[in-house]
Amino acid sequence: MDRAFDIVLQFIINLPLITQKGLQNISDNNGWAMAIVGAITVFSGLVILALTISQLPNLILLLEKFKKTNKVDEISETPTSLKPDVQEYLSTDINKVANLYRPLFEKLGDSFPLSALYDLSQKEKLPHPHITITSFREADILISKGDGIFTWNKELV
Amino acid sequence: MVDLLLQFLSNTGYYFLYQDPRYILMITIGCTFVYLGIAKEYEPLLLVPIGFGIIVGNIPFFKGFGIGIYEDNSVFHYLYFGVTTGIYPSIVFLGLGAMTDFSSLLARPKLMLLGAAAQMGIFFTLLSALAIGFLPKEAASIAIIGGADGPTSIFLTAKLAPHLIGPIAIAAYSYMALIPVIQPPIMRLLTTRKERLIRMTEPREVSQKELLLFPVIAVLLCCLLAPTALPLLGMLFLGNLFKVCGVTDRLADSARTAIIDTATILLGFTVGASTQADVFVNPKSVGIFFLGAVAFSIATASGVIFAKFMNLFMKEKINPLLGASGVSAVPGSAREVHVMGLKEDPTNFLLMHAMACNSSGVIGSAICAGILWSFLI
Repeated sequence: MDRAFDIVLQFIINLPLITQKGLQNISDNNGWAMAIVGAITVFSGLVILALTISQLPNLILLLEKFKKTNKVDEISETPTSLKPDVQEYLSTDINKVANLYRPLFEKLGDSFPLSALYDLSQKEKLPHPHITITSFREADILISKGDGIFTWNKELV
Repeated sequence: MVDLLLQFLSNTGYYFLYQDPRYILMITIGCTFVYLGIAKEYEPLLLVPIGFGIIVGNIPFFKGFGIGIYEDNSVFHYLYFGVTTGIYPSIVFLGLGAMTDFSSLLARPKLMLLGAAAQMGIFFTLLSALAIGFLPKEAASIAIIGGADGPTSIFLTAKLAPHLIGPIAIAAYSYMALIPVIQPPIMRLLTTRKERLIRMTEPREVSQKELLLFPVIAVLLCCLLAPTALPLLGMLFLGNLFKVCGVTDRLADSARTAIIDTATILLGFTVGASTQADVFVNPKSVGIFFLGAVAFSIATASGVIFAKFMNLFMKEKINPLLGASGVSAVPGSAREVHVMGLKEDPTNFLLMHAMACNSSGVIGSAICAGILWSFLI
């Protein structure tokens, strides 16, 4: 018991010396610099990663917008090539025609008057816009929201 | 005939056990690990192979027969090659990546800061180990225990201080298994009941595109910062890409089942077997165990304290318990945070949020390992 007490006492007496030696060891081995630079590096690395991934949805949205704009441009640049496809689809599958109209729907937003869709499809030189829009209404691809405003059924397009 | 019998007996393990009782101590520790793994179900996938490895590695034998793990041309020596070269930890990270769902982290990126804060235990322990008198490479290897990530600890130690793999791996895995004992008192001490009751809002839905972009962006950002973390993070994010890309389901399935299981068995067993009493039982190992406990406790505390600090500036408060899951003991610490949250309020489910911190802890500790390695190359 006395021996244990002596050891503890010796430790307490020598504590300042031990602390000083410990601090000296850290300094001699460049410990402070390693710890500070290391902590800052790992923290900044994860902060940059967190910031980047927080902006991922915006980046994806931007890319999709860019992609859609290109698609609409492609439609307006090559209207003649679409004509046979549309005519072929009209007799077979209304959903495929609706897919062709998708960029137009997206350009118009969630709500629009039919006249706007009609004008845009004419502007894009899509064939038979009137018949197509009527078919869309019959197929519930275009849904009336009242007051002459329509929305498009995203599940079907 | 008597001489022959005596000669035979002097070559048996019983004789060596009698000669050096340290082996008995190690075999007892091995049996305890196996008991804790099976009976108490403390990380059984780790403790059972490690514990059995300790028992096997501490059956004493006549040196020079090419039996022991440290003897050239022995079978165990070849299996141990995967540890000393860092192969097994990399393979474990591949499987871990294929298992990890980063969507909760992507939904709430600010939780990544808690994973960063919990790494402060590593650097505090680095200073403590240097102060006690460990050499810089040894101190860095001990410090990484604060990350609470067994494979990362083994990887860094294999590179910097291979002679310490045994005690460091055992300390790291022991503390990972002892999470239910170590973390709750620290969490309770550093938080009020009101703080523990904080509810986290539902995370937003994460798109497939985000999940797909994350491993590519993360590997670029992290490994350009610390290229030495490539063997770990490269494999982690490769595994995750397998999981989320949708066209490599077979590879992802193999990575998260057969491959990681094989690596875990070999890693656990050989690390256990490397704890031969004659090289393991020494004052350094005691120091490593002590510092490991300090590292793990400080890592837990710094995560919790940082979460409280973040709450000072945030409108939408974070439950500070989540800070404790910033250590990379996946999924043990997340589970512990969830359990503690449930104890305070049985309808407060924190698991998903804790997993976000946990997975950022895995990334953080691998970056730390890379940084320490690059400091000491």
